[in-house]
Amino acid sequence: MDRRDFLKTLGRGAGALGAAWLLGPASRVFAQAGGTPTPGAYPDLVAVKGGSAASRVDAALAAAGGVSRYVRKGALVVIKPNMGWDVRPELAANTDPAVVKRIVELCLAAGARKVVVFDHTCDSWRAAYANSGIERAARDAGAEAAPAHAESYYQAVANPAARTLGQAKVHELVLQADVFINVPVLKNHGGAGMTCAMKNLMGAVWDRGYFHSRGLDACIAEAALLRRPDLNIVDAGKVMLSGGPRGSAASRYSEQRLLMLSSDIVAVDVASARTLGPGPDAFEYIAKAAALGLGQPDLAKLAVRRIEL
Amino acid sequence: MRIPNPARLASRIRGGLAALWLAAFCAGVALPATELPETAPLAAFLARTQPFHALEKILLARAVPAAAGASILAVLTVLVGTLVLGRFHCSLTCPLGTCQDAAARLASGLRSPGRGSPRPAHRRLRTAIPRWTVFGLAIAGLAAGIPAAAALLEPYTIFARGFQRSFGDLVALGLNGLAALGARIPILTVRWEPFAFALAVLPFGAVLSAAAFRSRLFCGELCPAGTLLGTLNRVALLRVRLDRKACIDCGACARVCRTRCVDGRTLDASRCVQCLDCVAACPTGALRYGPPRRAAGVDASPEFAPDPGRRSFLAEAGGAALGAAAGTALALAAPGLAGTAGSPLVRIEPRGASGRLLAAPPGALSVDRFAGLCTACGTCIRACPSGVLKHSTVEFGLGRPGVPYLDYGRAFCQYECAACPAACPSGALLDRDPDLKKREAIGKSALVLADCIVVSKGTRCGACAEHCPTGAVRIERVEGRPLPVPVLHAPTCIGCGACETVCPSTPRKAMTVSGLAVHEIADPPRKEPPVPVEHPPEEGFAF
Repeated sequence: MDRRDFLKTLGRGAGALGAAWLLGPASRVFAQAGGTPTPGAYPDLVAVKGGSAASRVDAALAAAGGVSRYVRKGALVVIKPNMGWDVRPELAANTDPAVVKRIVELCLAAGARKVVVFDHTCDSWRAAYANSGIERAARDAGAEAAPAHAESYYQAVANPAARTLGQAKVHELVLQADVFINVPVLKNHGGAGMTCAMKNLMGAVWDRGYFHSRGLDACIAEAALLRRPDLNIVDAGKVMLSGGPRGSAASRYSEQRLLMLSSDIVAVDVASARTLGPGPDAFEYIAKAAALGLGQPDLAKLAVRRIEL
Repeated sequence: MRIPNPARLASRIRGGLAALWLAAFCAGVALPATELPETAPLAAFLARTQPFHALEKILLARAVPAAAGASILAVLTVLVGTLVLGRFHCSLTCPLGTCQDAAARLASGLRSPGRGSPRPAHRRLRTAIPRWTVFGLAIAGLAAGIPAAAALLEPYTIFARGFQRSFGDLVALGLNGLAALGARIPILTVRWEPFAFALAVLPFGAVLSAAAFRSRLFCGELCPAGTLLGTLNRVALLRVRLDRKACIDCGACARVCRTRCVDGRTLDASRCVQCLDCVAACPTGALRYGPPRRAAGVDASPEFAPDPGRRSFLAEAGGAALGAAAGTALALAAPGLAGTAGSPLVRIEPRGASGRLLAAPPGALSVDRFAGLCTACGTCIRACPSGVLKHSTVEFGLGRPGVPYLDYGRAFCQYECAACPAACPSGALLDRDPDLKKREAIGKSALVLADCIVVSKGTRCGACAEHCPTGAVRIERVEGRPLPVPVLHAPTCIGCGACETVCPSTPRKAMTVSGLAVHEIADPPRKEPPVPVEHPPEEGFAF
């Protein structure tokens, strides 16, 4: 063919590729992010006490305006529970599978196109996923349990507002999600004192050792800057008071039968710290996160809804 | 219905069954047991059916008769079966044998695996010295507690190690390639370990390469199992037999024979693997499978030529003596010479590059017992979900290459897991109550506070206490220290290595684990928290 034909073909090919790129990979960039709640109409923090795990989830989401406030039709929902440990649900080292199951069901009922559950586990991933009961519960409800055990699942992301955690490798699901729901379990933690909403995000990154070696509190706070969860749902049904995060024969528990929900990750951690006992001043990362503008630590300034079932 | 060639049908059925049996083995060992947990019991069962592997276990397990029970049954079944049916194991239930057939078929363009010799048998050099040397070496070595003598030459271990490492890793890499292209399958971990690779692939590769040219060279000339079963084959009730009077010297049998044991004038029953191809090929029925005929003149024996009796016996006896002498020399060189630390062949205290004692997996009872029974087949390494188990090179001694140990830097032993003892086919790891495994201390952790970043960098950490499954190390307030520091209670430590794996301190870790030469029962996990716990109110809201 002659030069003109060649250039025409090249142009058409480039056009086709560009269109495909716009429709495919780039469409995520241009798509809307998942639901940012309308301010003012609904409470900032919901706490539900009593009842069963599933009924607490129902009541909390209803009080917060319903799942549809957060999950639009056709959304990709990514749920990050705590299933880091190869222990049975009774030890309360992982999120209660019943809580995860109910959230999955509600998201699918709201029209989510797909719901995926994952965690970068501390123990061997297959065992942790299985013995925590969460993989089975999520699958029964219609979600997919995605692996997170290999570095290639993670992508490097810059964290410009951070001083210690300047960049991190974040799981691709967190970056692809339309709706990112953080579902931690509240418990004592040997290193950080408390593990809850902010600490749970450590399971969304690849190099956890970095957090431990560079300044645990600063990294926990700055991890929330990587991708703010659209919703934090804290499972405080059975709270491990000592021996956390893994739990041992020496662990003590408190049956709080509590569930807390908020888009404000700082507020929900403050409420959790009070529930655990020591209060937010005992955990440095809460103050650090507030200083970074991640949320409101003074609950008096927020609309808090308390429900007893 | 008259079957035109019943022997060919029988040979095809045999071949089909052998292929299925091999497929079962491949399924058992190809992928890590964590990816296909359903195959783990299958793999364990299949391994126990292998006669020489079972014999190894009996000879090595002098002090543990319980572990040898199933093996004695397996060996007796095959030996008695061979005395009745002939050397059927080699062409039916030996995975290495079927692999060789496959290699020979592939090399001949998917035609026959037979590789007949151009020269007639009575003019070929026939000696049984190599295989009897190997046999003597293996038995003597096993009796002396040197598994390598047999483990490098024994067909099941050659197959298991070789297949797992070569095809297993290739399958894993292929699956990872598919995952990279978008297939929704989890990524498998594939590690490059040169020594383990060589230990696995070289013997396996050598046997298969030889098979491409010479079909079952290994089976006829080297295999210790084959040597034993071949001797029994000569006096078996039912086996391939030759009637020289009916032979027309067409050479059809010689062309299809896999071990070059038959050519019309002679049939070497000690090399025959009972594949039945010669019986199928013979046009006159001079070759048949069955009992000896009593009628006069028919089935003249002996079937060796030209004068087999005394010469072959001397050759074989000489070979066996040579092998036994070599094995005995090994035995003397091994434990006796160098005192309590062992000798270059057998190291009683295997140490890693760090100088610390290597840890044996749970179920080992003691490092020396374990290494003395382990044939380095690699099945436990395949079964390990966290990937902490690794082949050693010669840390356990030159006579014990490739014995697995726990490499704590890269992973740690999962508290709730008991996969390795369940997978071990040789009984080197005793499969017992999983709750007992949680109390078995395979090593002990040591804490150097000066290396801990809480002390050296003034930053809070706690990774070690986070992961400790027994609560042996806890973060506690200590007099004179501004921040809470790790405190280790060694009697509770079981040596799982989680603390060492997650410790972020560089260049030296604050927590390091050394293996215990003799495993102990650790103290039970402590039931009291370090400080009394304040229970928050359970009624109402705290905020």
